[in-house]
Amino acid sequence: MKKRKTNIQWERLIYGGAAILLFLVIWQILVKPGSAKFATPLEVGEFILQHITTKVGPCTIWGHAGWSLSRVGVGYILAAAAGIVLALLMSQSKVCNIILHPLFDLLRPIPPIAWVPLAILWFGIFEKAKYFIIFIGAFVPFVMNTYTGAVRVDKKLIDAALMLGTPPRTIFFRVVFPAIVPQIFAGAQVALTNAWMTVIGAEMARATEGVGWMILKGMENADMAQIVSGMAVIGVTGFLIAALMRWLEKHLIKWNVRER
Amino acid sequence: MGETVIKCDHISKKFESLKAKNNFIEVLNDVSFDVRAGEFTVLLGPGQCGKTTLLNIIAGHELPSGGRVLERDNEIKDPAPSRGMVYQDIRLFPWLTVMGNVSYGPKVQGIDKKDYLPRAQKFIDLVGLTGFEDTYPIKLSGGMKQRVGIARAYCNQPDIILMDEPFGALDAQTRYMMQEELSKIWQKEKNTVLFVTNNIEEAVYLADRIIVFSRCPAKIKKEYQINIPRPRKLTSVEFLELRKEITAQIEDDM
Repeated sequence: MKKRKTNIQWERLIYGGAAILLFLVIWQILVKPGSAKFATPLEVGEFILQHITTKVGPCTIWGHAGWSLSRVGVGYILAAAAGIVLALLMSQSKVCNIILHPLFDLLRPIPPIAWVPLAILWFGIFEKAKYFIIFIGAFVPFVMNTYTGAVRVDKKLIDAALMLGTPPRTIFFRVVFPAIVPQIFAGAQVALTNAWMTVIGAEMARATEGVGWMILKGMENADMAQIVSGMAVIGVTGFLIAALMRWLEKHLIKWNVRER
Repeated sequence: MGETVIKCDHISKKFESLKAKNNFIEVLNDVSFDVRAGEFTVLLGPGQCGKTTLLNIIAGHELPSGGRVLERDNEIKDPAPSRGMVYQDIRLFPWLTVMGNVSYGPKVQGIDKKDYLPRAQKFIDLVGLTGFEDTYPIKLSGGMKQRVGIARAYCNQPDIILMDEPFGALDAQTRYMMQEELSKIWQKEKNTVLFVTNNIEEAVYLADRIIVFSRCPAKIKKEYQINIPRPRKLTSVEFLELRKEITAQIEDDM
């Protein structure tokens, strides 16, 4: 069993890697070097390697990625705290649900980027406005997943807990909360991806550094390698974040490893 | 026999149902019986005849439409740890290990660890799960899960254990094994058990007393006192005779 699993993992790695390599080769062949509308993988690679040590504008590529990630970090943590609390309130208190749920449903379809003008008016052009926009992007999936999990907790498990002598006021901490941890985690993954996509938008709207700024500046300077490099950094970072979250889930919630 | 632990006093239960004639469906009709301490009582009847509803009422998960249930003279209105239950759908807490599940009851009631951990270990050993203490339910087979369910109920030291077709979802072979083990545990612990099943053989194998129910709405048809010495053999003459007699009684109802 174990051996077979490792084999499949190797298979994935080899075929996945080969597909990416093939994609890069075709891309290299199709795009003319020095093109004014695109960049070749070699040009992108060169740009990234060069700017690991030298600056693009105010900082290196590491610096830009770091700026974007730190913005995501702040907005995300605030969204997690507020989103989980709101969802639990709505699921546990009928009054909260009646008052807050329609309001949430009304605001939910507004994309985070639509909040940019207001965010700038309210919080100025600096960091706070970006935290706010990322907050909106991550907040919605946190609320949705936590709420759905909490209202779907198996009533039969609660019955069993009462039968075993759980004091009714502790049912929430003994049964409801542990039961929805996997759903909260699923929400946390969607929220992180959302937050990462949102920060780029927020930076493209108004910023002086960050990966979004890098792309926008590349457009202003017609620097194709810089634009595509920015996109590549977004892709790779997003991929690594998702992998980290999956690893965390697997190791933190041993009792409910979701099959993939 | 021992004193009365549970007294069912003219229990009836109706559910609202738009499909039925008068917009309600009657599942229990004037059911009265006692469960006595130290006895293994089996409620036997066809599927869907309201036995599970009756057990849920005794557990305190549901209220009867008429009549009352008393536990040592106190009317039952809520679930309580004095009435342990083993469910057909098992209902383990998936986020707790085997040890966590078995010791859950005493733990949430604030009992000292020194008091309940040895007891939890004893029941884990007794149901044959030694070595699986730190395993999560997701890694266990159906039969193993139900062993945890049984150990969990015993570890809470209830006055009576209610078992709702606990082996109903298991394959035949596992079922035989579990019946044998339950019978052994019961002979060792001599606790009060109220066991629901639709399987005649299972009833005769386990019971001191069998109460036979009719089809829906369930009424008590007949009671049998089983005096076959334990351990019982499924193929002994007296076992087969009794089985035949009860089968005839139930077929009569069809």
